[in-house]
Amino acid sequence: MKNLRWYLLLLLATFIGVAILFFQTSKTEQQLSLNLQRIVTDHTFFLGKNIEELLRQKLPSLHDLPHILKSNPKLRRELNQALSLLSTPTFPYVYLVYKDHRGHFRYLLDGSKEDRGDFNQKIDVSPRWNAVFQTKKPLVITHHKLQTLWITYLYPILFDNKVQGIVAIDFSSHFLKLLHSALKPLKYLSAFIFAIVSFLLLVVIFQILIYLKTKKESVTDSLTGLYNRTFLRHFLDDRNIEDYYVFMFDIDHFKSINDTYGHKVGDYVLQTVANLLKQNLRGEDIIVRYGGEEFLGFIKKSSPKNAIAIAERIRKAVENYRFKINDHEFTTTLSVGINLHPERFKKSANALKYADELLYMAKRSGRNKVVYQKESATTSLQTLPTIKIKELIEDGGLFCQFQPIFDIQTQKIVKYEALVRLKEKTTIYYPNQFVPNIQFTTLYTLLTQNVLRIVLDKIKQTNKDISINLSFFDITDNKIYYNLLSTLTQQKELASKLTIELLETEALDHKELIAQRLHELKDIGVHTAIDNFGSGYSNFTIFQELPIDILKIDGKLVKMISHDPIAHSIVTAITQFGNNIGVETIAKFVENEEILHSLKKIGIRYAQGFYFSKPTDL
Amino acid sequence: MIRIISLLFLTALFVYSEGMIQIQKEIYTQILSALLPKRRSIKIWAQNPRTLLALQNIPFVHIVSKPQKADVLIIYKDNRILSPQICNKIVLSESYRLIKQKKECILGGFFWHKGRPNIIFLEQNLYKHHIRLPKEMEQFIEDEL
Repeated sequence: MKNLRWYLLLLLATFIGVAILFFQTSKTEQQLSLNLQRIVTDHTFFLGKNIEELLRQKLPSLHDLPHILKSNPKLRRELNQALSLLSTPTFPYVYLVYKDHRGHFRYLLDGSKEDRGDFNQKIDVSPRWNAVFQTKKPLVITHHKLQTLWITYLYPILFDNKVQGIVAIDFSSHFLKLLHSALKPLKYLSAFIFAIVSFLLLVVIFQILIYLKTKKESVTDSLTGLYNRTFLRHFLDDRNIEDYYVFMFDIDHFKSINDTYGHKVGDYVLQTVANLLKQNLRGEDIIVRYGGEEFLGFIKKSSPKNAIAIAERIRKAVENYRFKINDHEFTTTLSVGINLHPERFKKSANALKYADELLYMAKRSGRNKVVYQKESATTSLQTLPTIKIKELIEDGGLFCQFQPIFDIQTQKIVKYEALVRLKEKTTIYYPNQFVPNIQFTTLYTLLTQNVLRIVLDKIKQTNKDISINLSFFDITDNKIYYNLLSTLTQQKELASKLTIELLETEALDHKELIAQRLHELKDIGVHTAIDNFGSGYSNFTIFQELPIDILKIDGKLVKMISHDPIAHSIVTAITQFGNNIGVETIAKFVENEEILHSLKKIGIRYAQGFYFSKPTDL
Repeated sequence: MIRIISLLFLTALFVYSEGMIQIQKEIYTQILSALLPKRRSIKIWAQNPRTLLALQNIPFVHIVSKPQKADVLIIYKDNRILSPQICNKIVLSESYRLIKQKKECILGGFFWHKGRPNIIFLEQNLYKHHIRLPKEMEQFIEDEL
């Protein structure tokens, strides 16, 4: 369409150019005529002067010319003869006239070879001739109405400062016609080009109209009259989605309507809902039939509050509408997902997917709802959408911070725990904001692989001991496990510096496989820790089943030991248990000196937490 | 007067076109109305076919085929029809030469001279026919040729 616009502009510019050329050609003809007239009249002045000279020589006086010439026919013949010598096809009429007492112009002499006037014959001329008697100067009269004459040159014969007569020289229009015919090819050429370009312009305009009509049909859903997916594709290519809120609508239980009442009624519901959408949205908003009963709305940005109000208005309109089939009435509802921040998505498709996710949440949470952010359906306020997480990982937003683990007795750092983060510009997202959403997905595997790579690179760079959090799922994942095993087998020096902290957030399925793989890792020097022991699926038998070297006590218990006797007892018991089976214990979430003091008294060797250091770059 | 002159010059515009007939018609309408102002119907015989074309569209004009039946005759070049009986009628000519040649018979006329339209009425003949022209036509009256 953009190209078409340029072509049209180009053609229009050409049309204007040719039109100017066409009119300029006509103007040139006029200008040439004027110039020619000027040249001719300049020369004719001398002709008039010569005639005056002739009269002066031949006549005794220029005073009272009618009387002198009337009384001397022989002289008149002689002078007529002399004037006729000046007559040519270009100026066929050369004559001398005077004005009588009634104001009539009458011939004195006439040298014209044809249509010759008699002495004293009246000649009806333009009243403009009278101007010569006032100005006493030559006058050129251009004939626009007389077909055979082009111009008349009037030269006054003066005596005693009075006009006694006028020498009139009529120029034939033949000369002008020659000029016009010489210019005709140019005029015809420009007229021809003008006509061709005009015709082309009309053809192009006609084609554009057809194109627009066809295009409109091709981008319109025939059932609902809304835009279709073809339009959506162009829309996403051409427009900036950031200017809109993305609404995803879905008719609840539409399949049941179709199954119960048939497809015809289903179509009627779709058309009605489409009309309700159109009625409740502005002209500048875009509505697309996205799928069967799914509609996509691009609502011009105003305020999020307004967008939510629009969605609610539409939802209520559908809810309150009574669908009628014959005598029967039924109702339906609409679920809506709104992506209020499409600008946060690198790709438009991802912004749409997020709106779809929100719609799905609205469906899951009971339907007939408007969901505009994930917190409205889940408990997490900061959860990142899957698409966003993928984008951030692909854009290199994944990184690790490292929290030191201290030996309480020596007050020295013994190792670091790698903590994964996602970064978008200046915003940092924490694991609880993105891990739950991607668990058990390929994206999670990708995340783990990247974290392992970062940690192993860091060990290589710093030669420090670093622990990494992995889930049982990671250990059973062939891709992750074999990649890790392969890397560590090739670089055994890294293995001894690496500790795997197993997250106890899930049940221990596939015990044998996990045990086998942990043993294999342990054989090449990797240490294994059980994380958050004391919560989740904690079970003391895990120490029988898996080769655990380190026990990390759940931070929630540790935080309470200074003021909660039960927490204190549990931590004491876990520590005692660790000492008994020869497993090192690490207390997490050590946030103040009081906790540290309690831990010392219990006899825990290692600790980490904000009291020592926040996670930082290493 | 200005109207008449303007009309004469307008005529020139359509000399070689169909429009000329229309202008010629209007000039003859003016001339005939001036010559016979009280007549509701004027019978005319004309020699020139082009003049006939112009005249046939004038509402009060009836074209006649015989000169004897006409009130007004418009002759072009051929003066053979100018018998004494004919000369008692109003005779107009489209040739200055003919007007001058048969000035005792021809009242005047409308003709082209050097590409310009010209009108002449002979004073003595106007008297003969007891015709008094309106003021705007007086400028075309000639006492002698």
